Amino acid sequence: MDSDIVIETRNLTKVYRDFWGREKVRALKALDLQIRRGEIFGLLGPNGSGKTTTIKLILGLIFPTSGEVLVFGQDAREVTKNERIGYLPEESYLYRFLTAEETLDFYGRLFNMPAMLRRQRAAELIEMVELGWAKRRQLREYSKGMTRRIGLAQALINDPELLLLDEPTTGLDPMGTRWMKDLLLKLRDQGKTILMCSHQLDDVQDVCDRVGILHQGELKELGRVSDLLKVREMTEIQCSGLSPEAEREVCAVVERLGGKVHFCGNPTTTLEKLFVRIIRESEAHPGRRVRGVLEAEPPRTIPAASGSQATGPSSTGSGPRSSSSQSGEKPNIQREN
Amino acid sequence: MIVERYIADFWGWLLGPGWHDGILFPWLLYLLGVLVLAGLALVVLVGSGWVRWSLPLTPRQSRSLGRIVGYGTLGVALLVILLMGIFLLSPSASSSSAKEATESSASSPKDSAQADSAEGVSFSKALLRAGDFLFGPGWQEGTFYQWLGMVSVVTWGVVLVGLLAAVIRHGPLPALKVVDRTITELAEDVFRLSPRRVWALARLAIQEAVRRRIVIGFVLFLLLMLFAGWYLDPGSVNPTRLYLHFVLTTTGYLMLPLMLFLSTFSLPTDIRTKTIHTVVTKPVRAGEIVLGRVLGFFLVAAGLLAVMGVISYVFVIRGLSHRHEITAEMAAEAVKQAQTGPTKEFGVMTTMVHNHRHAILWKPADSASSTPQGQTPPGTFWLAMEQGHTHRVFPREDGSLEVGPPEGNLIARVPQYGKLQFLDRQGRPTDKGINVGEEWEYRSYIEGDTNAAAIWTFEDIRPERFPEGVLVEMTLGVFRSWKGEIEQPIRGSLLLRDRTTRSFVEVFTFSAKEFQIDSHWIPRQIKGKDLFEHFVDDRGRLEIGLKCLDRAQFFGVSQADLYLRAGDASFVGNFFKGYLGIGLQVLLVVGLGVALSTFLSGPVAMVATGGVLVLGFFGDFMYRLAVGKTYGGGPVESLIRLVTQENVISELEPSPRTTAAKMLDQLASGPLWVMSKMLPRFGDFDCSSFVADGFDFPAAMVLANTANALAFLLPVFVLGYGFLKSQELAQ
Ligand SMILES: Nc1ncnc2c1ncn2[C@@H]1O[C@H](COP(=O)(O)OP(=O)(O)OP(=O)(O)O)[C@@H](O)[C@H]1O
Ligand SMILES: [Mg+2]
Repeated sequence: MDSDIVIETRNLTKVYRDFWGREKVRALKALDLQIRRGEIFGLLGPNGSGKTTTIKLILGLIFPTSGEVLVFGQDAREVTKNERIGYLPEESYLYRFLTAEETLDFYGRLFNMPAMLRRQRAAELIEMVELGWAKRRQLREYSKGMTRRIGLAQALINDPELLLLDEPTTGLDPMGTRWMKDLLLKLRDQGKTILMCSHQLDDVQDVCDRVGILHQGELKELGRVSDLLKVREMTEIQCSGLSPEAEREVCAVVERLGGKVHFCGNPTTTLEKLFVRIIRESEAHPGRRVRGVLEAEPPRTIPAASGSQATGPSSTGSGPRSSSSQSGEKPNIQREN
Repeated sequence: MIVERYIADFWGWLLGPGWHDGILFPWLLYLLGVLVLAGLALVVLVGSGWVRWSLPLTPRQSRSLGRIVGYGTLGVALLVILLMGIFLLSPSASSSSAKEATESSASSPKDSAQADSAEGVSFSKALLRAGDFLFGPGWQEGTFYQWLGMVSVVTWGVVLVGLLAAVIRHGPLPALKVVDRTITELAEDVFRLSPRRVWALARLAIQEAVRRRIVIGFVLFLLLMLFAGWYLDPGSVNPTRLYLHFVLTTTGYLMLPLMLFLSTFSLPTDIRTKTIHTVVTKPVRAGEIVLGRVLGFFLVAAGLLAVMGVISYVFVIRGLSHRHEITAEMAAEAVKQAQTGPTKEFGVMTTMVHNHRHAILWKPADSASSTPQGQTPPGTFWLAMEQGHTHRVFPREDGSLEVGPPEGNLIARVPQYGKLQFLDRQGRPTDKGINVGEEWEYRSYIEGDTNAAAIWTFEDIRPERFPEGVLVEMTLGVFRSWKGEIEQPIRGSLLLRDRTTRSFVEVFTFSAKEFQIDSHWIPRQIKGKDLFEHFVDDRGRLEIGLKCLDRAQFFGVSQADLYLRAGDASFVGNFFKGYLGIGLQVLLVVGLGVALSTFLSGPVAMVATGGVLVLGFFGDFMYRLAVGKTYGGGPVESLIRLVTQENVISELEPSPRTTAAKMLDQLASGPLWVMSKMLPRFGDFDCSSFVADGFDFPAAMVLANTANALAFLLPVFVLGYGFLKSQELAQ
């Protein structure tokens, strides 16, 4: 067995049955998947396509109808594997009568961690998920995003090698989303393996190394994000400091060389980046209305084509992976034909 | 002075006359008991943890170890079943003798309790008794072996049923694999249990209880106490019994449903709200979840019981507390009467409080020579017993008397029971008296004014144990035939058998008090003869006879109706045992509730556990039904009687219908027998009547009950474990 493969599913099938054993839903059909050490794997798919089912099978929360799942080379029902796994469920299923501190302490105990270590980890994680101000409040009082954060902290309590995240960004504000994505990249850089599922395509695109697309329980597409998204028949040039005349000249050169210019003009930023910038500004200068940002974006530069990801040739990030940790806008040259 | 006395009262209350007779010691003991029970669980856990740490096993090694232990256990179980089969089928032990054997051990807790009290309480003896109860005189008669047999059969039953289910589901070969894995993992999990995880889950259960529902139960308890304070009548015939019974039953009836609710809804709620997902995806084992919950809820109950116990105790003391007034004139009158003989019929009485008065009695001091005119001469006052209590009195400066709190009502008698035999009308020995018509009366009757007598033989009567003579207490049944005079009390006499002449000597005559405990002293000197020289034989045996003196009247007696009061145990200790009994019941409910809720939804688990609880209360009845000892036959036969309105004694007419009914009953008796043996006898854990009636609950029974509870919980735990393990929790 290749020790580099952390999760392997072979011919994995799950049929949900009712009480009488009659077939209700065939949620997963013969899934073959290998997830390697140190990668971020994204499982995509519309609602009800079997993403959560896959994760639950990997965790041993439900048992396969046929086929098998190996985690770290062991059967998924093996309890010991859990020592190296962190799991963030779809919604944070936590005890609402515990406070954030107690929650982390409780899960730390479940990992048989000694008190010292527990306290230290809990303090670190609460700091990390930025909940220090609410750590003594019961989770029943938490907002959705706060619950999500403490859920993530809970998943990280044992410093796991493998993270299974079911829609990690739902319920988070754009700052939180950005923060989550940065965190995932950081964890990946620490050598952890991450399997996340989501239908927030841009999130997946920003962080995942590889993705698999599920539809109605079947794997439709599998590959590196960079390969899947490369638009081979297009070339993108991004430059700054050009005058309108120079721009026209460049376009003329392109056309002379036999190319076709689809778009030439000022790029638009995404609402996410705009939002992040405003919040950062406001944190830097509290109480002042952030000016200049909206004015800096002339309305005419928001073309219809770039708003919808499906129709444009390429969406926001056009590189192999746009590193979202890099702040500020990234210019995006597109020209309408 | 009063304050001093209150302080003295307080210390007396806290520490008692000896340092261990007050309230403090038993509650420390209680704490200790709870800790021991929790500790027992922890020893298992730590032991398993030790195995884990000291032998760092690779997964494969631990798997093989699990396989060895798992199949080893199954093998032992099979062996036990085979041995049992051989014993049951062998000709030497016909089915009737086997039945007798089981019968004797079925009733053994009570027997052993009685036998134990017959010897007074000593801890080693109690242990010995418990050992006897567990292992029996012959190897196959002890409850332990029955339990072992039962568990073995159940284990194999579960394995086979599981195998069958798996075969139907997955086909034969994968089924074998599934069963193999379950057995192996179960055994493996035992030495992989982690105390820290179990404690984490127990803590969670406690936090859940505290933050969510427990408060309600508690407030309810306090409200009930407040209410009851208004309605309980401290002026009734036996207020002590009333109050004690009330607090113990209230606590029980409140705790059991509360814990039932908590324990059965906890896991299903976790499964429904999916919080269980974040727990089982940690390295937690199914056993730890079950064990942690049971431990947690038990600790909650223990804490609640401790608090409720203290509140109840205070409630009882306060409810019963009262003071009478004695003025200087009353005191002077009492002294005068004592010196000159009674002038009024009833003597001088205190004021009426709680519906009773006490007679004021006075005894002159020995050195009473001359006292100035108009002053109370030196001597001691005391008050007569009334409603089971008396008060201490203290003379004041002005000649009136100050009355202390009630005393002597909160007691824990340690009775010594004897062996009962009878003499018939002609004075010939028989082993039974007369039956006066009520078929299920447990008493036998002796006829008045004949030679009929009841004779109790007591063992181990030594001067060291009874230096001042023997205190005899009786609770007699009285049956009046129409010939006698209904109004008059019926007289009887108490006799002792002379060791040399073998004839009976009358000690005193008395009027029988029905429905009450009647105490009498047999002094050291009886008609000039010393008790120990003339009546107790060399082996320490004393025979006490009882006769009814009135013509055509009857005394009804059973073995326990006349006993020697060998001493008194600490009441608070006994009170504490009452709460311990409730604690054990709670432990059973919690264990069963958690186990059943691993595979049933909350409400269903609650109903199921409640059902077992109720059936358990009728375990004894089911047993009698199974072995055909009830009137009116088995379930089907009695149904026929019900429909045909036949009475329960007469034989049914022989007809095909009757035969069929009897056959069906025969069939039903098997399952009934098994059920009666498997379900915990909840009633046996309840010792509130002991406490309320003022009898010490024998230590051996406490031990036997604890063993019983743990024995029941073990298979229940495995059941819960198995279900939790084999279930898809994310369904
Ligand atoms: N416990 C269950 N019982 C019956 N059917 C179920 C159960 N859980 C999921 N399903 C069905 O299985 C299919 C896949 O569900 P799953 O939860 O895996 O989807 P998903 O990809 O996670 O969807 P979403 O994006 O909405 O979270 C769905 O058709 C769903 O109805
Ligand atoms: Mg989902």
